[in-house]
Amino acid sequence: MSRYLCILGRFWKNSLLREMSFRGHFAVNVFGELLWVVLLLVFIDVIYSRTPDINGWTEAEYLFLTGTHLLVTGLFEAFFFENCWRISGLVRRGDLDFVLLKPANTQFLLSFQQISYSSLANAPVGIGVCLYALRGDTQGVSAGQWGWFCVLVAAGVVVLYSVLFMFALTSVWLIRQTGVDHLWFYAVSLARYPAEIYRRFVGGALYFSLVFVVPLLLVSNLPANVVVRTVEPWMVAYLLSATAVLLSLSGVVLRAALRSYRSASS
Amino acid sequence: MSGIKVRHLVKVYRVHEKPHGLRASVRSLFRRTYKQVRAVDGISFDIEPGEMVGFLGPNGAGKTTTLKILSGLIYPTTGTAEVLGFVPWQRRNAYRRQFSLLMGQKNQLWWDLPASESFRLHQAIYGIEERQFARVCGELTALLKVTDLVNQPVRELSLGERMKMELIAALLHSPRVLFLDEPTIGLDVVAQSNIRRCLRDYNRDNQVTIVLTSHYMRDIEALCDRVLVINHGRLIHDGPLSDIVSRFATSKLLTLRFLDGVWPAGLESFGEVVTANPPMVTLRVPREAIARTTAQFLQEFDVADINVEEPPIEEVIGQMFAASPAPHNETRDA
Repeated sequence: MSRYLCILGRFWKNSLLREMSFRGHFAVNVFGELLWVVLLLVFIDVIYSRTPDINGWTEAEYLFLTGTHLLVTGLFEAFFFENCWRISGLVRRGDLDFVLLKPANTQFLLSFQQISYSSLANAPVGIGVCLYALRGDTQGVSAGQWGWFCVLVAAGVVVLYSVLFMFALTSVWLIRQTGVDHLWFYAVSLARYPAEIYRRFVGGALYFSLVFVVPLLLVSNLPANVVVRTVEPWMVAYLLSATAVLLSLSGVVLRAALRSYRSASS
Repeated sequence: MSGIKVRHLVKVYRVHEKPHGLRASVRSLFRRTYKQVRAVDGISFDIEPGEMVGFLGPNGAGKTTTLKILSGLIYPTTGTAEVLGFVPWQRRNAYRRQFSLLMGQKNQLWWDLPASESFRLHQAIYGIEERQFARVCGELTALLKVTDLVNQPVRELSLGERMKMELIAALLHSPRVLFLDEPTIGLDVVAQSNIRRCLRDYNRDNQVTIVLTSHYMRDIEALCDRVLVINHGRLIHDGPLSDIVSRFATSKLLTLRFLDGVWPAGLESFGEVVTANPPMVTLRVPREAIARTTAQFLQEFDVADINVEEPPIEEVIGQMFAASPAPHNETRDA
């Protein structure tokens, strides 16, 4: 365990050193992320200046959902997005060889090698938006609710990681698989809104798929709901179970992928 | 003590045959044809601990595929292999701690960071104690004369310097088996010589088992007492490099210097004229005729000097590959 912490420390240190050697790139990325947040907040303000609620969601509730979404996606993008995105390139160039040669858990090495510090900036911004949404009314939220909020945020990050990791691993069979960023864009776009709005589409099939097949809608909605709305306990149990299943499945898919790995010609 | 033991190793790849032309490409979207390529075709060999063995073969012969199987990167189709008593493709950490694979055309160091940071990452991954890390790293950087370069970003190093850093990274955990795939490719002669010297010293001092593939015959000649020659996935020679010449060279080179600088007419009847620079001429003479031809020249002509030598090893190996028939190792399916 201490060896893995040591490896993790080295990965993060190397990522930091790399980002610091390209200060301009880092600054532009942080600026881009913050600009996106500002535009999102302006968009929400414009919408709610015309209507008091959307499908029962008040502006404060929706702002809290947005903050939660920024937190979940910020953590995912910081820790896992780049690692998932680069898998296709590693497979196509045969550089996955170097990961397989190392005497450590392959999934760990693949998942944690890079950290994007510029994306990590979204996490505190997300927390800030959540606190702003509550307008200082944090007394009304119990410690238990905050505890579940943290657990469900972590579960949401793991769900996103597992889905994108498995998707990225298909590059072992497909060789060229550059759709990770597209899938991420769709996942982020879908999960940003209250889950209820999807109930009306295609007879609820979209809602059912995005909750019970691939629970992308729950990754931001459920932690937000646990603080600003109400949550059925079985939904919490379901998300936690789905998280465990998806994480285990990602390990199974990795093992299957590595059995089929051909390694590119040198 | 176990070294490397390979028995009847076969690796078959299923390769999509991409047709020419737009119409054929569209058709292939719906109906694809594949061919089964036997990249490694039933090879067997043993390598003793501490041996340094050269792996020779033309491009696509199956050398790298064999090294990748022995490194556990890919699974064989059939056959068995053991390295240090481990089955490589089970990818046990205990095995992965004891070997290294260095690929001359690939880079595992962090491109934008100094090599020293990648070395530290290796230290963490392999769990190398600080004292051992400092000692080994110090020895290797001194041996390869790159002590003052380890804190320079890898992207700013020359190809030769980068390859030295890759070699250090591969040796940091003191592997017992070292697989080297074209470690000197693209390097200038000085850098090649440095890498060769380092490998020879490292093998001598540490008794590491080394399997080396290289297209530079100088690498093999300088480092390996034994070579495995593979072609079309099949092992066609296992033994000393010098045996290749005696086994496969069909001719010798006879160089003559004539006293008056004038060549006798009809030299072609003795053999193929390879070079002719007065007063020297070099003939390629069939091996079985070399003694008779030499005697004949000495008796019949005014020869000032005579020299008989083996043809260059590259030439012999080229003949050997050409003579080795391509087996029917491709099958097609839809």
